[in-house]
Amino acid sequence: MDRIFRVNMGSLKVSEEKVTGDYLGLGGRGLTSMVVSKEVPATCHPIGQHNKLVITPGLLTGTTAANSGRLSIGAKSPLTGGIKESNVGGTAATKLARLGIAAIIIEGMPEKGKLFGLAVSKDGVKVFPADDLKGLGNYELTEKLQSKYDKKVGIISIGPAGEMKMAMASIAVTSTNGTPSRHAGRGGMGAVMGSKGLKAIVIDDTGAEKVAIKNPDLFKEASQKFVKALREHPVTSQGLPTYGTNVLAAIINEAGGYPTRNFSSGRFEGTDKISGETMHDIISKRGGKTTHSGCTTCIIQCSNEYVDEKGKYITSALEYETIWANGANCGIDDLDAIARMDRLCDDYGFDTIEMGCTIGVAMEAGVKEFGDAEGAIQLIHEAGKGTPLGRIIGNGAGFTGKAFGVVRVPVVKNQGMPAYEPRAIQGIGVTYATSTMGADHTAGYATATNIMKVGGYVDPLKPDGQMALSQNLQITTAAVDSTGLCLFIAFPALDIPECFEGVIGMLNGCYGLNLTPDDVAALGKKILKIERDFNERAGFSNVDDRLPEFFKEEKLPPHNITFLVPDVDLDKVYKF
Amino acid sequence: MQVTVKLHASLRPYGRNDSNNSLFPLETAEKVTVREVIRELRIPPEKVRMILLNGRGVATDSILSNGDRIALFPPEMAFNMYVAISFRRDLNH
Repeated sequence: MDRIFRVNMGSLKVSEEKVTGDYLGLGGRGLTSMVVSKEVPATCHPIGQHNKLVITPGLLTGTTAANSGRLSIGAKSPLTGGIKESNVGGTAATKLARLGIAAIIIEGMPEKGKLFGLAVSKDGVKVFPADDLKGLGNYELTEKLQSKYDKKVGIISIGPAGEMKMAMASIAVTSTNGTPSRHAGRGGMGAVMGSKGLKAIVIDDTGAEKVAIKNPDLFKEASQKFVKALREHPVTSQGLPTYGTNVLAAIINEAGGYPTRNFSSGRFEGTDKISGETMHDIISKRGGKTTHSGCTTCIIQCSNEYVDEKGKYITSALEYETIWANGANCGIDDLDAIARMDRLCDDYGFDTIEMGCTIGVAMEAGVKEFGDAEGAIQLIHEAGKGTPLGRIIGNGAGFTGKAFGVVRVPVVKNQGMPAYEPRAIQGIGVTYATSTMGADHTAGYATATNIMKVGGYVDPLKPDGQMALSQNLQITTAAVDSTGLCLFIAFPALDIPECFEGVIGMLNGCYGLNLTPDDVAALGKKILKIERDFNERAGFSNVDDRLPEFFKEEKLPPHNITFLVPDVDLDKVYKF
Repeated sequence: MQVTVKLHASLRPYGRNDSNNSLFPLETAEKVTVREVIRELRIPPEKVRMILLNGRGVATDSILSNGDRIALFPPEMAFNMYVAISFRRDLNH
């Protein structure tokens, strides 16, 4: 993997170069953030000609490593105004890596109103006109492209939301079942792609050679160790494949950390109707798939295929975050309605987390009532069709809060909060506040060794120890996001030491290196520093590393507590 | 005294409720421990990985009071990172 393709959407010229200099040894989030930091002026307009869209597989992507099919998409974010890496599974990353491609960098802007596509194959990258695809939803778009090219191609695309350059527009990636159901959702990467006049990237890896492994024996041994840990651990071998990521709903709700009705309570009375267990029972009864591999090389299989009462496919991977955002956060306990909302978001190309957060704020404003599922669905249609109300919704929770004069708006750096209440789980509040990405739950999911170093038990309802905890999690996560591995490897990594040893062994085997856990931590720190530096140049300072004031003032039931971590602690997160 | 018990995922069959919503009241002796409740319900101890008492993580030797709500989770459900480090006392090393 040493080829970088640059596509200039102004001149429509494609050039190829080797990975050199500062870009050597990086992949995934490390590479997207380095390219954005080096090449994108921090003060540029996110949907103007100086921003760049950077698409990279991870360091282990394309190899036989299990769960290595993650793709990083980076740019300056139209939602936050800071640096962004949005991470997505599906089939595209593995195909790019097998073609030897370390990065595709989309630059410049075309003539107004023109739309193009990219065809990527062993012969390189070619631009094709795509005006005929204008306005298509991701589902119809991928079907068209699959019939024109091949069923087996990987497709990266945007729906109408991206074309309209809405700040919550996602980028879709086709799943192993060929549907556009995997999304780089967060931060409006779809709007950047839309601003470049790029509708779709079609990837055909036919004839690609195997990814070279420097030390095959070491790689194989480490890879087996890693697989054994994933297969042994109860969460990755039973919990996630049986109940999907929604396995978390019952736990987080019971712990009082399940944000309900626009973050006004930590427990939702309708959780049993939308929990992982209920979802499993409904899908089983209707003949859908409770388990399914969404991403290439995945052996966890947390995905599912949700079907209607007649057994017809509605959407794939109804996920914890989506179900929470468009469910509990909007007071909605109807799983069928939530599935339709997920399908609509995937088709129009919206981030389901930002959408649910935004609908919650709109409901707070009285645009619709909490619990009104049909009203919520109507708001998604308005956004997808670009009506005046839809233009407000499509630009996210912060924008919608301003438009309707709402104070309780759960955003940090203008990005909507995910499904964990920072008052009930104070550690994630630190991550939301300080992450370079804005309110982001994945920025603080991490692996064993670093967690153990933090020193064990941290009471979720107290401020003590949360800063150090979040700091370590963020460092390790930045490194894991560079490998192309799924973050769920963190579950076994917590309990089984061989899991993390396997990850380091695979990196060493693949590249002929002698990395230690400390080197991995150093990589994480380097990435965070680069991102932090970009944000500072873009105008961010420590006052942006704060939760909205209502978290410090309104007591959250059932524990009746506020966010207690002091600002001085938040300011220490980047002192490493 | 009476407590409310909520069982999750593969623990659901150990419930005492015909309505299958896995939430049920349980009459117990005064000062009963979580361990004793688990035994009373005939749940093998290794099948309980995480215990939340009124929404807070506790160990099996915790003593219950009248009106308490306890939720029991099996290994395949126990945890995302934050939950893990925050609620599992056995990781305190």
